[in-house]
Amino acid sequence: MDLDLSPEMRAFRDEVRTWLRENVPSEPQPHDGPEMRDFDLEWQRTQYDGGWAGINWPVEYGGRGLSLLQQMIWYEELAWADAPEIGVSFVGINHAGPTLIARAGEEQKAFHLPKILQGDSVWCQGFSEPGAGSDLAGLSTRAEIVGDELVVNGQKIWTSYAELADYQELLVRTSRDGRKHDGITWVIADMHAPGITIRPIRTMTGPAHFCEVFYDDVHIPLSSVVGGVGNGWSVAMSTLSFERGTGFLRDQVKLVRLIDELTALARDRVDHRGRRRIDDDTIAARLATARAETSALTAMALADISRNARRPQPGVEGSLLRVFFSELSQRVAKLAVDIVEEDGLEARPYGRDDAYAQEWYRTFAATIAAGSKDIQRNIIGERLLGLPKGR
Amino acid sequence: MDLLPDDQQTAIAEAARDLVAAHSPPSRLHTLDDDAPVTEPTLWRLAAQQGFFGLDVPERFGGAGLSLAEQTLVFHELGRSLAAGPFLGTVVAARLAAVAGDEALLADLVDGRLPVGLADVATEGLYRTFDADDARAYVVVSRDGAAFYDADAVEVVRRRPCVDAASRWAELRVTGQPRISTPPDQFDAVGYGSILISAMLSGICAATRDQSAEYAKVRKQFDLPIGSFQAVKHRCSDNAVRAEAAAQVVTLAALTMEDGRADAGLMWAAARSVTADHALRNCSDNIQNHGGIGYTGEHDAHLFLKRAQVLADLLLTPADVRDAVLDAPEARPA
Repeated sequence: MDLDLSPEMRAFRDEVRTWLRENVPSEPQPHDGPEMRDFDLEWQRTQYDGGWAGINWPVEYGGRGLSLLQQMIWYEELAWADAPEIGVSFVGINHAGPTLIARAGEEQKAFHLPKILQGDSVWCQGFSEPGAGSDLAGLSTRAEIVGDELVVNGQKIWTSYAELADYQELLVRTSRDGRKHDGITWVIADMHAPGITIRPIRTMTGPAHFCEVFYDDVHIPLSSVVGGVGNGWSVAMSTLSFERGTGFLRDQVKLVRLIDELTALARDRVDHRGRRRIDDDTIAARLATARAETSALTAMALADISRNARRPQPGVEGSLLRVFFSELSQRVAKLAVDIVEEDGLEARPYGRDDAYAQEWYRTFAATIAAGSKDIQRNIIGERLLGLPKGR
Repeated sequence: MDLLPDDQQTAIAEAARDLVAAHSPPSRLHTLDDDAPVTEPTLWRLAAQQGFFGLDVPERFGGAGLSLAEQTLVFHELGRSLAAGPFLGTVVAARLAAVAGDEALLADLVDGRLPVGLADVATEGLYRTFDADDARAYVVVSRDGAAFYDADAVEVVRRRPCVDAASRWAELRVTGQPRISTPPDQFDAVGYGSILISAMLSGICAATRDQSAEYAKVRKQFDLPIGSFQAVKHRCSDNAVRAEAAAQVVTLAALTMEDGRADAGLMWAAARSVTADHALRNCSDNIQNHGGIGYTGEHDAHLFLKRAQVLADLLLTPADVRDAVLDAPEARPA
């Protein structure tokens, strides 16, 4: 147990800090549309050109081949440097990329990984369906093998940034025989292929990040299957463990900063009676609890990194972190709304620094996406505590 | 950077766990007599032999030369098993003696010859201890620092019965001079003690998590183990989340204090806040998960709750903890 960074790691961190100071863009990040795509990919390219993309990805695919700890340092420093959000690069960097590294063939890796790192492609995720949410393995988007192609028909939903994406990690049903988990295939879909129709869905925060995606006789070469036909469930699960663990480190640092900002805000702001907000006992108690819990979150994140540094793939303990983080982020976001009182009633554009209510609404996604909090609790109960499966 | 225990640390934790489980399981508390010492003599002797009172004391003073991080592993196990006795006071006193350089005292403490009660501030001029029948000396911890008193330098003013079967509550008045004392800038005794208390609370979080999970696997209703029902399963999962948060924040607090980091003050206060909250909630859930048997006096579930209640009140009240968390400076890790 130690917190020390070796001289080598400290030097790495200093290098990161210096580079970020000089290269973080000062203009505001767009939160919607093609401007967002252009901005986010430009930032990804800038990181790649600086040698900071794919820090723990293999060198042969454009990464740096460094340690998970160095990747962690990078994520932390991004948060401290107020660097742009990962935005449209999220799926490529945090899901598709790691999945391809773990499970894809050489040609697939050689083609896609450099494009992801260089900001040449945007990925989206095609997992959820209208009839398959928490019961993901119940998905029914069909793919028939015809010659050397898959012909896909069906529908996906809650697909973030589908209208901005070039590729999709798509789960399809290639067999209806046997266990439902066994008939699933993970395939790379070209989002520009004929037969794909995208309909944006507005979210409760405002901008349309969500989409429905319809597939009408979409032809995908069999060579785009990752991990083999019928093995899609295990391929998808390797993706989800990434999503539940290290990928969120940056959000955790942001939460630490937010608590400090809110504490300062509560000390400055006065209510209509002229009383400082922090002198309201319920506000003080909630702030203190949230600050303490955020410190515990930091500890849990460091422990999770330590665990994952000792093994090749992230484990289910990431769900402990995910449950704690997602619910804490909701409590903190609501606390911010309560500190600013009626200002929380004002419709403000999402992304503005003082859009406290909109930020609160955004956190509702945290306990739904990437496995709802109920599914996370099933995972903890069954896989960590050994409780029997059931309903 | 690695927050998890290494091989040596894992061995220390396992040794402590085995020792406490063998000599002082939680069920022992059902059999303790009122107004009598609570320490299990074999446990105390073997704990001293294994060096558990001086893990973070420098080797030149007879300690193991390790750190508070290792000491928290032992206290986690003491908490898990509801071990009774003046462990907290003795280890706080050892650290105090190490800071003050009192080698003779240290030798007595590390060898277990001098069990020390922990005392905090009760009311004006009075101190409070829960180790009254076992302590042969006291370490008084307050905002003003830490002071060590031999038994003849204090007198018991009043005894009070305690909800916790292993606590021997008394109010003390100081009648003599301290053998040693240090101001808070030399030894942050409140922070140090809080980390040990938090470690015990984190052990209680783990114990109740495990007790509930094991029961949920074997107790059947509607022909199914109750752990297969989400209402129960999810409570058990929440217990696991709270236990993980508690254990990790204790480690982080111990390491930041030993490293003298800028965020040490925030981390020990955070550890107190989180472990107290999580322990009380896990203990409550554990009673609920057990149903009727969990409400009985003969089951262990209530013992955990009551010990957590006492630990959560030591050195700092919940309001003190709240202020300590809010007043701790912002700290970007260096």
